Amino acid sequence: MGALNEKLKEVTMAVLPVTVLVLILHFTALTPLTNAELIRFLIGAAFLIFGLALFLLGVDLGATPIGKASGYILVRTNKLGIVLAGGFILGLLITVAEPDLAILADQIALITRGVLGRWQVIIFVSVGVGLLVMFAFLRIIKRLSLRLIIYISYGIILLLSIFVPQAFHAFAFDASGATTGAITVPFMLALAIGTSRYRAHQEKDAAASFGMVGLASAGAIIGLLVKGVLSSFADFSAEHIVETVVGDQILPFFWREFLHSAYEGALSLMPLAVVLLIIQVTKSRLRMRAVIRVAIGLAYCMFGLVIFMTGVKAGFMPAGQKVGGMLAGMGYDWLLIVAGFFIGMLTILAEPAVHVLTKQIELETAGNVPRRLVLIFLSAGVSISIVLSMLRIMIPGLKLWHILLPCYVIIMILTHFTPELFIGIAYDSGGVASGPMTATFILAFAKGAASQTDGADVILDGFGVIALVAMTPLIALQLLGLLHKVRMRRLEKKQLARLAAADSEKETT
Amino acid sequence: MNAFQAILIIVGRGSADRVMQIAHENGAKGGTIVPCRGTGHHDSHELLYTALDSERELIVIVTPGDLTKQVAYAINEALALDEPGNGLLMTLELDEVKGLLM
Amino acid sequence: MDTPEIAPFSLIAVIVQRGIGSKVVSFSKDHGSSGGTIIHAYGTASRRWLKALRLDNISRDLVLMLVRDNCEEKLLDALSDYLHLGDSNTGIAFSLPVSHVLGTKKLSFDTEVTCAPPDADEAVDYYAVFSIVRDLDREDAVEKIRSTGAPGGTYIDAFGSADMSRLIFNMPSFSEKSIIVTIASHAKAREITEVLSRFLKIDEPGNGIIFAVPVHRVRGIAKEGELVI
Repeated sequence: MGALNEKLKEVTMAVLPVTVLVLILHFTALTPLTNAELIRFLIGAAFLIFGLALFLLGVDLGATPIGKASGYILVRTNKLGIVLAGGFILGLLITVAEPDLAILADQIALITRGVLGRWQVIIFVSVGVGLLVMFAFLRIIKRLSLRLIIYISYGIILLLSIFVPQAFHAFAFDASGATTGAITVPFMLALAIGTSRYRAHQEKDAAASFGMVGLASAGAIIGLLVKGVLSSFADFSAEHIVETVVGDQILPFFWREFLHSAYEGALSLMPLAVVLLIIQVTKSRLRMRAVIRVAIGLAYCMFGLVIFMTGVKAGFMPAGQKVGGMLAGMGYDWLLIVAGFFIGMLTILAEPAVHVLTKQIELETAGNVPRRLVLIFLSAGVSISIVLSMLRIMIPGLKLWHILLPCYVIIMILTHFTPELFIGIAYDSGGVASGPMTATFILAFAKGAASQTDGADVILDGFGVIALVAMTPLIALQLLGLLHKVRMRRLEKKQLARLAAADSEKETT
Repeated sequence: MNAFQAILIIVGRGSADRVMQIAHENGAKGGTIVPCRGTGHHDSHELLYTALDSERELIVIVTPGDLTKQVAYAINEALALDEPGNGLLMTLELDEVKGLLM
Repeated sequence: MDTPEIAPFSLIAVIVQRGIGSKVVSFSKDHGSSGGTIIHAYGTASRRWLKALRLDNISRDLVLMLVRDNCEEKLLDALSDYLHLGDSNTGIAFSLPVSHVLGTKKLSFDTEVTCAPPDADEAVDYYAVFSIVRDLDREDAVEKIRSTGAPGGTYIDAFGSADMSRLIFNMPSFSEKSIIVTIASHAKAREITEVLSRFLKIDEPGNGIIFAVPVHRVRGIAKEGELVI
């Protein structure tokens, strides 16, 4: 089966752990699922594996080549104006079509009683992303320090967040998770690589290739905060969103989720198809053979994503909600924390964009930053974020900003010491961690837990989860960067010492 | 001694540009750069039991026999390959060569 | 060339599944190699339906190791056992004679590994054909190589030399290239270079370069002329 086989192997290893964890919880009778739920969950796991493998294959064949080509074509014009305008338009285009953002915008419109309209949210967030992608391009070409741009953007975020109501923070940080969807992340990663490719041979490391996704996330936050500052709110209504009752049906449920995912999948792939068409009318159009390859890749991407999302929504999400609710209902706080820890740790492995990012890191650094290490630190980071989320649900007095503020202070301090390459990797993984698996399975788990806990607010506590999942990888991956730096330095010293010893030995003989 | 040689140079990441420039100055018409990673003998160093390999670049330059020595030694000197840890250069004898611009 | 440093070295190349490369290097360190260079490579499957579905590119690691000549055969045999190169779909290992080496100071060969000189020269009639082509031409080039009856090849992504005449934001531009490595018998190697150079119009600038290196020893070819990779 060639390449598909390869992907299936890789993906099975990623999806199995979380599947086994839920099965263990089921069979140890901690959280017994009904038969229908169990069957749906197992079918969902199979959908996840096949869908994710197909999707990743499609990313390799379709999304990555388009991203690289558009970055490279823009840079080859040799005109800064065109490159920057191109960056803005690409960032805007891909964000406007992001289905997760549309869902978030609907929710925000509902909760703010229409003070923030659906399209207003989408437009402000998209413009924010476009602008920051533009700065990411500027940084690559003018060789600006990523550290500086990050300090400036997070400074703006801090400043803006003083002027908006507290509950709005959760929306803003959630927007950063919503804009970095399954298709957006691979495209932006490839875009950054394609743009920085032209000077890859003068660089000591791949620092220029990373950081664009991270900046795009910051752009989304800034965009929504600006809108928040411009609007005035009376009050938020925490109306409960009506959950559909599932019952014991299996196939009809999968079918309904399939249709829904098909629409979203097609929508999120639209920008890439548009970009491909634009490339084809320019001078640097691709050959027919390459176009066919990319088109097949995009088709894989879409079908893979649709199958994956169907499995997640029909199989994993209900199971997650049930498990979360039952664990919280048992009355042992530590149980919820321990389960949250493991669910966070294992779920992240099945996140589509995580595979893309870790692979790109390994390719661009030629193995100097191994995939395994990135995964270990990312897993650790996410598991801690779920523990924090559980604490927040259990302790009503613990506000989101009580966690976010000190953590972001730590992050900013770490950023000062982390090597540029790892700053990019860390901020990118923040955007990557808050992908579709988090937004569905983990969120459902947290909501389930919140619904069974007194004093917890299902909607507002739910919103904070994404913000935390997007934050902890920044700490974890920057710590990895520091460790890596120390290691490499020690190695250099050791090498020099050894060579010097060998030299003196030669001279004496 | 054949009519053509391929010079393979393995250097740390970021040096390929310099190698190409030296080769160009000494008459070579072009070359190809391959990103790769290297592991030395005692250099094995790990973080959490995962090996961290160093980033390298492999450069392939095909030269006619009368130029090989000059290009090879110029690169050797300019990048101080004789100094420990700077890189490695080797030449392969080629049989069939097509497409080399003179 | 009267160079003083006639190197008693061989270059060993091993093509294996992606991820095995590091294992190959550390295994080889115990058998006389000083270390190695690992390159991301891709195998090309020849089955038609895989090609139609664009599932034909399989990730590989290409490992290059410089070893002393007297260790070459022993290492190849050890690798062959270790990687089961005799079985299909495991990989291939071959050695190329190296004429000169500079900068070996950094290589530290394990002195404890003693290698007996090889018994006799194997009469190997294989050539390693390296075709450096534009990335765009790669798929067609692999097809052309196949049309000669050769098994296709393994390719790696590379960059062509800098074009000083064309600057992008004050930097010379690099073109995307692919290096296709094919192992073939002498006659077939000749045919491949002929067919490819005609197809690529190789004498025009920028279209690529093809060269063949005689292979000293090879492991992982199941039957005469048939590659298992």
